[in-house]
Amino acid sequence: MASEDRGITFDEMYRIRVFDPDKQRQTKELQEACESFTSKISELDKVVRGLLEQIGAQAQKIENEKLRAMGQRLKATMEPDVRKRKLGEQAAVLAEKQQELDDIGREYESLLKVRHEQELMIAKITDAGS
Amino acid sequence: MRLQVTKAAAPHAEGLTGVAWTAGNDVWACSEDQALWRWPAEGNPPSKVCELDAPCSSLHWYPCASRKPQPGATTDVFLLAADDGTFRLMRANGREEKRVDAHAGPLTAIQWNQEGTAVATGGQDGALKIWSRSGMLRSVLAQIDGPVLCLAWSPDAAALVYPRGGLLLVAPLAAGARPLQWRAHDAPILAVDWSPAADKIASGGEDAIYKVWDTDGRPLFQSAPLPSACTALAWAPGGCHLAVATRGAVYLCESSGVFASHYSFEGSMVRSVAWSCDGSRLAVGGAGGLLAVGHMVKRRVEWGSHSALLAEPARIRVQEVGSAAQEELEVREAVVAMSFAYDHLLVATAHQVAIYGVASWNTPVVVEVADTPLLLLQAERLFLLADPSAGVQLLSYTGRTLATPKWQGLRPEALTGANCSLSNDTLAVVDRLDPRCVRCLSTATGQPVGEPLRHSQDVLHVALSQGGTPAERRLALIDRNRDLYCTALQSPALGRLGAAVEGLAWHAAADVLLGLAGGRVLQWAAPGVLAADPSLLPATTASLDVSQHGPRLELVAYGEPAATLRTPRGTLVHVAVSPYPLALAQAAAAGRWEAATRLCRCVADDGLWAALAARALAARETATAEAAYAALGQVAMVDALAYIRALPREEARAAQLAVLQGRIEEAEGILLQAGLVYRAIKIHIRAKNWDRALEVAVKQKSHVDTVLWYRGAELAVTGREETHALFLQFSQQVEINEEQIRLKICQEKERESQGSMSTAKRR
Repeated sequence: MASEDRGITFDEMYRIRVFDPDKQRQTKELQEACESFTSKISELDKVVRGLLEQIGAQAQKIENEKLRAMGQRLKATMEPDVRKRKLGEQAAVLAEKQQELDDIGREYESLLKVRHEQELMIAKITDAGS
Repeated sequence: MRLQVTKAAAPHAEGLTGVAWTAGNDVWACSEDQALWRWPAEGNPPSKVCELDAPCSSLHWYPCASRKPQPGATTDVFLLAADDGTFRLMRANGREEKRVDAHAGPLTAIQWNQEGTAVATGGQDGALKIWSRSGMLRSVLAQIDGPVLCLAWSPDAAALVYPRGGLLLVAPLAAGARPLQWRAHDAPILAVDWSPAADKIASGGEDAIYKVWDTDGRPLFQSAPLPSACTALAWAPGGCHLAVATRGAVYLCESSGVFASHYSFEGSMVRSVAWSCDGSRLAVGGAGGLLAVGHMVKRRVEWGSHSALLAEPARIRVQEVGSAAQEELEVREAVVAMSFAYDHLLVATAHQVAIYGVASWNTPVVVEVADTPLLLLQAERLFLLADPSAGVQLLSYTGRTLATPKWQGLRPEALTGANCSLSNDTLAVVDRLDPRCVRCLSTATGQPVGEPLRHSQDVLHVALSQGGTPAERRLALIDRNRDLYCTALQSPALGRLGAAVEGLAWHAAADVLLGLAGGRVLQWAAPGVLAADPSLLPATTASLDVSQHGPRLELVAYGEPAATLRTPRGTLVHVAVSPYPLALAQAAAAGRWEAATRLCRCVADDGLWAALAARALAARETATAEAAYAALGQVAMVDALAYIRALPREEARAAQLAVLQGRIEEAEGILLQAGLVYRAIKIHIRAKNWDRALEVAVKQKSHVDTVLWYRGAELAVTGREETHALFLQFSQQVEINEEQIRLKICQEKERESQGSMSTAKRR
């Protein structure tokens, strides 16, 4: 009893034990349970961390997409103006080209007229000569 | 005509507020971040010259590279307008030479005058001030209630143009003179420029319209609305182009103002444009560090059936009409000027002139030049090259320097194709200091020929005839009243050929003149008609209506079959003019009078007969002239010419021809030299020029009695008394015996015919 009171016991192998084997077993079980718990917790932590990372990445992606969408929307709202400007520019280029064509056409016409008059003159001279 | 733009690798994020060219073709720019940049001509990226202590709004280089301001002083100085109210005179190395506290607020505009003797500044405070070159305040020209946003000097530096809101004001510098003002735009004017060469003002405003005015404020052109406000504009040095800048684009216009092409800068604001000295490049500066240089490409020059087009800044495409052959010519640097005439194409770059012959495109003659050529003028055997440092040089097409003419007031950058004309033997230049005076210089020696030709009005345009011998050289000019005058250079006597003439051109090989007046092309078949017989002038002038090509045409050239005109748009149109006067002129120049007469018979045109009469008379071809006058039905002239032809002596014939053309003094000279005193006196008696008749008789000591006898007969016929003191005196001294006089006259006539026989024998 006294030894029991002092807490000294013997186990099955007759080794001196300060702790009650029953408690000892329970403690051991507790320790194992704790260990498995911590490992599980750290695993959970890892999982959660991964999740967070992924969510962050997704958030970033979404944020980017959002920005892009905003940009696109802005572009879309601006597009009529841009189109108008480009159209204007193209029209100006077209007008320039058309003008150039007209100029060349007019010059060509005047040259044709000169040639016509020269041909008339040649005909007149040959008539007079013969 | 188009701009091919090279953009500088953006040197800075800040905007450029001012750009300018140096004489060496570097581009300088000042930026909002208080820095000064230099973009070298060789094409290296722009580099920072120096940092400044204030932002600057504009810069302007010393304008006359050819003229040193003071002995020993350099021309590489420029003005910088700063926002702290000062302007600075800077050196090319970035050193500040002088700083002048000019305005209460920021400076908005600054400019040298043409001579580089004075500076005008405009400020946000509304003051317009004139400064000496050394920065001394000369006067406060104006004080307005808004900022002076822009300003420009007049070519003669006697006035300034500046805006006040939508008004344009031309303020003379002379004290007490009232400024001329007119409403130019409905919105504030942002840019103005005054072309020295074309003497026109261009303005651009917030209403996105640019306009061209003459110097009296009359509108010449108004553009269609542009997409946005005109922020800057600049005339090209020759006055043949105008560059207009708006937000996002630069517009290139013809001298008339008509829009030719544009270049878009993708929405960046263009703040400043500047032309290079030779007018071949345009520098552009603007927001977002925009710095670019535009080369003028797609320029075309033509000669005969050849046409040369500047396809790229350093590449020329030559085509011959009617053949598929096409030549690609490449030069080392960007082309600044081209000229094509007399079978030679001249291509000038900043450092050399290449001379291509139409027969040998692959082997050009290359001439090195000291400075950028400003003007190329061609004649048949030589050409003129003007550059700021060497002045004017005359070179042969083999590249040999023939002469370097110099004259007082020579300023190479002031020479244009209008105030300067070249022929094989003579160079004619309107005096810059006295525009009523035309100087003629020999192309062989570079020395003046005779006295300068003086006219009563300012001369705007001179042109020398190209065909014929030096003795036949003629000069035509248009004065400020738009009258056309013509003279032979051998015996200068200006005669008026036409009025309201806008342009003129000589034929490249014959003595025929073409003019443009009020929508008609005028052809003077015999420009020497005034000296020969002024009454033939209307008949020898042919006129051709060209108004179907629109108003404000310009005469460009008079080629073999046709005249070339340019419309305000820059379109070339060709108009056939009669080829007969050319054939006639060539036959006459070669002395083939038979052929010329045959031609006239064949064509049977009074104008041509008149031209033949004038030319034959000028060449003393009495037989041809007689035939021509006969064809014209002018019996009196036929009679007179027949009489002249029957005269026994050459001198007498020449003298009578001179009398016929109203040149009595010349006739007298010829006769007295030949010893034909009686004939000389008789000319004066016929003209009732009694004083001179008596004077000659007394001086020659013969025929005094003859004069007195004729005078007596005249008085008897009119029934008057002798009152002339000299005649009274001589009638007392000299005995008048009618029979003796008649005998003397007979003897004279006999001697005359004998003299001609003896000269004939001697021959």
